[in-house]
Amino acid sequence: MKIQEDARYAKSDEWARAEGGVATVGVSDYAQQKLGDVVFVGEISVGATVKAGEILTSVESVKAASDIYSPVSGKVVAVNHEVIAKPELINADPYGAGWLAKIELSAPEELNTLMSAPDYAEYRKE
Amino acid sequence: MANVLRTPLYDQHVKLGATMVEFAGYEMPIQYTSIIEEHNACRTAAGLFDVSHMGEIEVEGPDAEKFVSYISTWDASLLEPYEVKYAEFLYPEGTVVDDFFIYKYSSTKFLLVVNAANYDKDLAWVAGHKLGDVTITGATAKYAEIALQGPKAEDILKGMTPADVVELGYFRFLETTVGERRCIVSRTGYTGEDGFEIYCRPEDAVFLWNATLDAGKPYGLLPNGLGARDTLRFEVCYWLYGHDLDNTITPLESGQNFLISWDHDFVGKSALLAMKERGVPRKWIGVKMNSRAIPRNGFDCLAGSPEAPVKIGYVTSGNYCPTLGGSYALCMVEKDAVKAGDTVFIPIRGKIEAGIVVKRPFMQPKAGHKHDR
Repeated sequence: MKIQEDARYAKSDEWARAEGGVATVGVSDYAQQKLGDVVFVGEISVGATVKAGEILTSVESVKAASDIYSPVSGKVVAVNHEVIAKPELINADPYGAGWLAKIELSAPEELNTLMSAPDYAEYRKE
Repeated sequence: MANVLRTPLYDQHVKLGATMVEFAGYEMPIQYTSIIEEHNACRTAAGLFDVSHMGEIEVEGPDAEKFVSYISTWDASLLEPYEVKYAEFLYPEGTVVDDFFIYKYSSTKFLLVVNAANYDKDLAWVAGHKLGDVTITGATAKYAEIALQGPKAEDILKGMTPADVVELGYFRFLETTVGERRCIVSRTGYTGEDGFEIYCRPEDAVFLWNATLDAGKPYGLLPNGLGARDTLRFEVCYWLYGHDLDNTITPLESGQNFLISWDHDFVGKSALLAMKERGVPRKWIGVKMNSRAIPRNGFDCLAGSPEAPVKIGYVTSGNYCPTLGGSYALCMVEKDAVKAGDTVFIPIRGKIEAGIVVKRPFMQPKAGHKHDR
């Protein structure tokens, strides 16, 4: 299981990496492994307001459909259209090309409630 | 999980790093690495499946042929020795108890291979219809089974057995040895590819599994889990009991006229004749979805105007098709509701997704004859 050092993690296996008040979010390597081959990413709307812990979108793998929760609160300012066209990017590169959305943080302090990389590694230790 | 069974190959799956799930009362591998990678290996090279969970029922005795015919949609007397036939047990109402394979050794000896989830039910049903001088034996514990499927299956198997598997016809079987272990080998499968199903003694299963993996490695063989087994069968629209077939569906509705021989008497026949007489109310259609969202079993299938579509049936199976690169559905719908080329709508997780009615199967099986017409 790969862990991205500079990201913070939700218990539901999403990650957020903040830079200048905007967080890039995606799902962790652990999550993509559990999902299996992702073949569909549901729409995410630019401009939509999301809350930490609420559904950001859903993904479908050959095995099942799964909800993806936003790890932070704020406004969606960018969506990764490439991952919607090529969902397999989530499996290939969950912390890079497989990012889902950029969210302008309305409550930056929420990041402190997410797990650090070492804590997440411990949390998902098999 | 109480009383969950394991096949003789359980330890091999764990060793290969498989994700194990409970299926039909067994702990089975759903995938080893990736469902799509395994699927593609089977379509382009070969896949190896543990199907030891399948149930076996032996029927022997002077009246075996008469009895098997009476409980099957197909007349067993039409089969030659060492021929295999796909058939169904029906309830008197004409709906499906199970779909299964008849292996005919002779008119006095048959092997019936049924779905794992239905094994107990089938055994009780078969025994409950016993007729004449026959012995019915629930024999699933006597058999392990592996399926070797794909365009390279023949090349892999022919080096492992003295039998002439190259000349073995589709839906034919023989008794031989593979890796010097006694086996039954049939040219059958559930993937749409050419391939073989190999029945052996449970104590030989680990050896055969590993010997086949080794022999297949140079050809690109991969172990395939239940996930790939499902996507492979789905692309060629082979029926899955519990989804596409059940005790509410008749074979006339599921497009399976080809597994009924009408010149013999069998349980459920009069109900089928009555349904034919008054008109078959539903049909089983294929749908290609416009998006990659996946319709799942039980979702509604709608048709009509996009603003106010009405329900015409439901999804029996739906999945992403790795070879075709899109999401598809199989739906049981009212007979006259739609035709090929029409648009249907399937609500998926709160959003209405559109699809086009297309011909079944989504892709033609390469193995043997066409299953559907």
